[in-house]
Amino acid sequence: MGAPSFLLEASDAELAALTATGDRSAFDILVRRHSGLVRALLRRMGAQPSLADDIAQDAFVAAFQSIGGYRATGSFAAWIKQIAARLYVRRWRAEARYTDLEGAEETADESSSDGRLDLDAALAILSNAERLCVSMCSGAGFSHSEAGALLKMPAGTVKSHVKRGLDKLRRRLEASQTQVRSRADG
Amino acid sequence: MVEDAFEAQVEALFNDAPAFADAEAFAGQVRERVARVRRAGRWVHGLAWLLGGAIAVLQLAQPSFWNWLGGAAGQGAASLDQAARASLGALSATPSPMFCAAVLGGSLLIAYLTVVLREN
Repeated sequence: MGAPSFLLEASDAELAALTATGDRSAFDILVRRHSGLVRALLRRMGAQPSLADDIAQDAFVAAFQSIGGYRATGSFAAWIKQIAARLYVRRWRAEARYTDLEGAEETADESSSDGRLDLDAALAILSNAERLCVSMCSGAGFSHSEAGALLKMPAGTVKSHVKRGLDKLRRRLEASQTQVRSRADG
Repeated sequence: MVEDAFEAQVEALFNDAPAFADAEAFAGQVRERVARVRRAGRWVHGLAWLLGGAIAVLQLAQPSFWNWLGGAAGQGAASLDQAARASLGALSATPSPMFCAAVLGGSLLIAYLTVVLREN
């Protein structure tokens, strides 16, 4: 079932407005445009693939039901990502995994060999708390205080986790670039 | 600042979505779930209509209502009431309030479902 071409060229705001009138084809296009972003964000926050996809579907259903609440002043991508992030944090807290937040699951820091930052691999070297906070702030666009409210931790703690996480990512990128330069000189 | 530039770089990486091989299947699953949610919502609305219609008819079928109507409109209204009741004689002396509620509520539900099915 192909969507009309004018829908394919419509902006997210236009598609959201059409969805609010009950146009499911318009919403289908929004799903196709942004599902990759949402699914990737949830995986980067620490969700296993099956859970990430389940929550991503929940997020899109929730977005459909509350499409009237979307304000085109912000991007649809940011809006749907924040819905998904909230759902993940709520599910994760309900499953009592909050106690694992401060537990570190850092793996060996194996830098990539091409001088670029492989985000998915890089996030794996962060602790649960750092990965979650970096994903929520840098990935989903929450402020430190908003993320702190969702995670039930002070904004200052979120800021610390984000800073440490970004520092680790930066060191990883620098190490990767150093490797590339060494190979080029050798 | 260097830190701000790196943070912007990380944000850009987060916005760089990978392609999922099962993207089409995922979209189909979302479509199905949205359809289920809409159907469930329609049943809730339909039941609400039925219940509202039943309550309305029960209220209308109260004897005090007919007494008030007859008293307010005088003899003409009383005659009209008697004529209406007589025309329903085949259904026994007076249709029960529950019967009226069922008829009206069922009619409303059928009308509502007709609209829903036509929309689908």
